[in-house]
Amino acid sequence: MGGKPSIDYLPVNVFFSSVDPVLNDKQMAWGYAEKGNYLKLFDVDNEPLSILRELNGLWIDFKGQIIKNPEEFFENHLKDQSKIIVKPVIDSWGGRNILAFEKNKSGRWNCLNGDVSLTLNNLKSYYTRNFVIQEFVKQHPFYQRFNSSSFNTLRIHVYRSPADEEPKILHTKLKVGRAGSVVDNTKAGASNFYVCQDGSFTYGFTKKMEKLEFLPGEPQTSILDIGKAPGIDAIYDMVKKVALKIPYSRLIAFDANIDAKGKPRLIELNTSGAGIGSQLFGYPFFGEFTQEVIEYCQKYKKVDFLRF
Amino acid sequence: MNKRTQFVNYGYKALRTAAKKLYYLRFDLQYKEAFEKKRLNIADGCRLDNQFFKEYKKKWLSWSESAIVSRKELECYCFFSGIKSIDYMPASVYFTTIDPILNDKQMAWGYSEKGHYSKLFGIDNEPVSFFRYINGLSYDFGGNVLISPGEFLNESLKSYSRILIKPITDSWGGRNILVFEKDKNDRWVCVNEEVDFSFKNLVRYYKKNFVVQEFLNQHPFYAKFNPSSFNTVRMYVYRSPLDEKPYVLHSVLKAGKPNSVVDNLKAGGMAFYIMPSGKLHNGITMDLERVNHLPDDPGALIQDLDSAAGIEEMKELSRSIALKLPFHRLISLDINIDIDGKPRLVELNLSESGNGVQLFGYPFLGKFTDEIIEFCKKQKKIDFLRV
Repeated sequence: MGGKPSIDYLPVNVFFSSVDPVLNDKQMAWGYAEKGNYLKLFDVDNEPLSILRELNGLWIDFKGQIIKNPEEFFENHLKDQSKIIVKPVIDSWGGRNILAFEKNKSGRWNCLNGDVSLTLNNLKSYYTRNFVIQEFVKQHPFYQRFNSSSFNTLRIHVYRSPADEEPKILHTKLKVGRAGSVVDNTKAGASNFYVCQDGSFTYGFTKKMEKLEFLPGEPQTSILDIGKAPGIDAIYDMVKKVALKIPYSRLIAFDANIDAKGKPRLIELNTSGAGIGSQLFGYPFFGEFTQEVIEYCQKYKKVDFLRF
Repeated sequence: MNKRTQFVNYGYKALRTAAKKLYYLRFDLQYKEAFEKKRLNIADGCRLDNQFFKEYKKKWLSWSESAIVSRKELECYCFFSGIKSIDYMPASVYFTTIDPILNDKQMAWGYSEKGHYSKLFGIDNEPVSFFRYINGLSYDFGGNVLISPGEFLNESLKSYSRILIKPITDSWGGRNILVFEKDKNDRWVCVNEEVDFSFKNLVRYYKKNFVVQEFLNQHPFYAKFNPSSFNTVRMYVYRSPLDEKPYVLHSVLKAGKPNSVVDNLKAGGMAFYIMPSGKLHNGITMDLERVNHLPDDPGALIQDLDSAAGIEEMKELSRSIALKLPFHRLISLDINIDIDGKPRLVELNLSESGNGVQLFGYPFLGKFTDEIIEFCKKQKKIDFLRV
């Protein structure tokens, strides 16, 4: 697909069986990837506002305080919002179980992608264990052109090399939700466009591996002509800063983008098992670090996660 | 999925199902064996009758993953304390079923990382963690990445005379804890191992991660039990699903053996039960010997001591932390007041913290026993093994 033969392409089974478990401590991965907790963990205020979280029977507000009357709190704080997103705090990969709600003209909340009416009791029985209610971040006009219904994020793979402990950007791709979708995940039918480190775009792929050389919905606009991804440097700065706060993971995938006002927003982070699909664009996953990573994995044991 | 993949997949499923059964059976057998080894002189006439043991088995085995409970274990609890009850929770059922349902093991590691409590729980009760090294990165007490860790370490320790170093994760049983003291020439000397103090040596010793903390000065009440270790109170807290409030189930003072720098039972220490009133109960050693006086003073009976100093403050802190741990309903905290009376949280255990307190005659889950059994019947455990 990438048109560049190389033995440096990392086989996906080797990645999951031997590379990812050595580079990333799966035991610690869950605690560090808890949504709604990024401010506390990483000192960044770039996560979407997490209005309310239900965690195993406890209701927690955006400041991390226990809420005694969640119904009242929910009602009061939803007044300021017109669109919200609800997702599991852990285990929401592939966009699963993400619900988006929008207020209609008469002030009633409608679910945009499911048949769930917005009450805390309903959400509790839908999610069983835990969920977070977040603001639906408004998209920057540049990224909106790809698809306006989803907040299209940049998936950025960051690798922290043991040679200098500096975080390096390996790959960036823009994930674009399919028309009408509220999520941008490939498993939910999204397309991916490769973004070079200078912010320029190359081309994209659909989920069915069809090459995309034009902007979705604008067949006259070549991807090569749309200009550089705005905010890319600010986003890189943010993800590198966060990567240094996650010492147990050397390979992290971030879902981030700028919002309508140009502020970088960190939607999600994956501290293990994030996939290596970027290779389809013709770039071996670890690039110049391939040999270093192989040697590191030869030298270090993987964390005995199963403790058998 | 083609036939070959399907075949391998079926094989994998069969193996993982068998592995899961063996995993639990291993726990059952290990605990049975451990209790069989305990020396307990039970007069023949005091043995548990079969009907009582049958009821006990029915209570705990009918719904749990365990296949075996140990009769000797129940005998230990009943006869050591003199209180007979089928509510004593078998260690095997606790580890195979109750703990994995009440506590999300996946989240346990991230939430119990030492040197991180201030950030995680918004408290300043952890010993000051000057320095942390994790997987190649070094951090100061504020969580900032350090460029010259060796230099920082030497500089930040200038005003201290005693420090403690331990792994950030996996330091149960007091293992790999090093204590350093400054000698007359201002050189750091390790008091419990032969390790020279330098950043490079510590990285070599701990490999993955470690935290350098202040060595807390003990409150005089607790120093009487053993002055060389910071003796902590292990406090067990349960958050009930009925009202989501945290309840202190038990408090046990752990005292290190003479000259030990750690207070762990496995390292030869002893345990004293603290009753809800704060008064102390007699102690127990790892070999199930009773202790009814202060270790160093046979004339000072435990029952004559004052109430445990600062116990209410410790309970309050424990309960407030339990509410910051949403993924765990049954936690244990190693906590105590320092010389100034301030409660200090030394360590947190978010899964598998043991049920040994039952030797004092208190069923572990107390009045919540039936509530927890019902909860466990209803809830699936977190598939930690993902098998």
